[in-house]
Amino acid sequence: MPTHRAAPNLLAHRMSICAPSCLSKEYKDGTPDWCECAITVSVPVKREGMHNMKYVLLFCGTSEQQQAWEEMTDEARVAQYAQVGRWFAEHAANIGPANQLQPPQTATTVRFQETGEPLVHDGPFIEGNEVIGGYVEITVTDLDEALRLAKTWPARGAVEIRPVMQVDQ
Amino acid sequence: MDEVHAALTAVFREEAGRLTAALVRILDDFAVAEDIVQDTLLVALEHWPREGIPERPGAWLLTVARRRALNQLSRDARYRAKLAQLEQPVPREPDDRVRLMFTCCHPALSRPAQIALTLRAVCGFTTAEIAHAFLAKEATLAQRIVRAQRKIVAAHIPYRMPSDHEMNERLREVLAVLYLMFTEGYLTSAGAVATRRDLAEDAAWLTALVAEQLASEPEPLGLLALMRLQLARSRARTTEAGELILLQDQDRTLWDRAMIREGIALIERAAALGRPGPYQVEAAIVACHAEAASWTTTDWRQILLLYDLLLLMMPTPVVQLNRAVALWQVAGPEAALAEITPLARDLDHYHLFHAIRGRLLRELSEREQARAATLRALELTQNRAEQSLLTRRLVEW
Repeated sequence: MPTHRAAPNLLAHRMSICAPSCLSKEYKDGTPDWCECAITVSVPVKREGMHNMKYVLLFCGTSEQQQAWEEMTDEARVAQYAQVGRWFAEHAANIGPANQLQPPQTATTVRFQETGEPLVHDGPFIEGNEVIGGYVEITVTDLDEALRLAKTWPARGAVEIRPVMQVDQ
Repeated sequence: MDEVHAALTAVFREEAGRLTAALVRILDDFAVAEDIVQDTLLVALEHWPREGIPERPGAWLLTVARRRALNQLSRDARYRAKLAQLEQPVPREPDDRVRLMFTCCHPALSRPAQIALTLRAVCGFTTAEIAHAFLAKEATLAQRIVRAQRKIVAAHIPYRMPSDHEMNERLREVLAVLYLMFTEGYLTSAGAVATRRDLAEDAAWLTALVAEQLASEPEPLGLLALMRLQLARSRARTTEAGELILLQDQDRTLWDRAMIREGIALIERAAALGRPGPYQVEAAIVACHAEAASWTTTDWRQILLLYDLLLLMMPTPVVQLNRAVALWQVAGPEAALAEITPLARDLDHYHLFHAIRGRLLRELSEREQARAATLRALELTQNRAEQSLLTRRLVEW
């Protein structure tokens, strides 16, 4: 029998999966006693009578806000990152892939002409003052829960919530 | 409105929301459920005026809805299992209509969509009736409804009561929808066209539903009081030709005293809950008018104090404008004019700003300026009763 350690603080509604390096099995009722694996990965599972909805939160702002961010002192930026980091930690159970994006000046857009010919140009797709600074995919039960998460986003600006197209919907 | 139509309206109001709630619960798809209800109501509208209203209208509607659902959905695997449930008699569930309203009035939907969905799903309006009430094209409105329904399903706007910490925000949204519905109805009812349904009455009915189910919330009571107190004056506010009569010129013996007493009792119930809010204060202002024997003997100081309180809760230019009318009575037209002049920047597109400014200027004998302001107000309103009142002023001044 392999040596595993029990994972601490399992939330009742979550399924615990031992890390792949330890065991490839899934345990619906939490990690078994004999498991002494220190690394466990938690994934939210479908709750009874509820839906698992995926949304992408797009973190938006103005170019002024973007510039202010770039001109921030290192200390201020560290503090800001710390806040954002706390937000991610707090909502870890619901959070999937996420990335901060480089500023829009670094963007390149391929735009297809009516003839179907791709045209490459310098700059972002969104014209004008609006900037998408990053995104995160979340899995929650419904729009209200997505809104609750978005409302606690510490970096201000604006957060656009887009449901992800799901095949079985 | 004749008797059959009054009876139809009453039945639709009572049954449509229950039917929608039952179908949303069973089918778990707001858009599909809502469409089936709309179809069902159209069938009823076709049959009932000819054949009379059935003895148990709720059961009749459910039978038709069930048949429609089976026809439309039986080939869809998602619904097959759910449809089996429709074969069972649906037990009378606890009243779910307020929950339904919270979905229809979700802040993620646009205000016009919130209003249209609430009227259709909860009140049993047909799309044509809503279009008529809002002077909108039926096709445009139908499109707006479809878009909102799709968003509810695609973005997964939940069908449930808001939790305690969301309640304030979500209730504000519902009440704003109801008040807008009411004012729209209250204004257009003075217009030339008679409608089968009275939007203002329906808005008051919905508000009563919310007030009854959220008995510990004072603001629904405040809004209901505000509506009742305004409805109490409805017989006095238009001439037989449908022209608007201002509060100061109304024949107060035509006011419905019983309804005024009811409105005031509602304010007292709300106040007893000890959490004042804007609707309660607005209702209190209207109550001051309702209790006054005439325009001149109105307790303007009290009204001014209430407006000060309202401004603390809602510091908006429109509240400032209304406060200026009270200030006019307490401190004279010059003071009031000085108060509203800085509002021009925010309210330049609001016809009542120019209408009130015109009256103040007229009072100060600035005839040319008064006429110019009145003309500007006239350009900005679509409402016929208001147009004719403003035109009369232009002729008389």
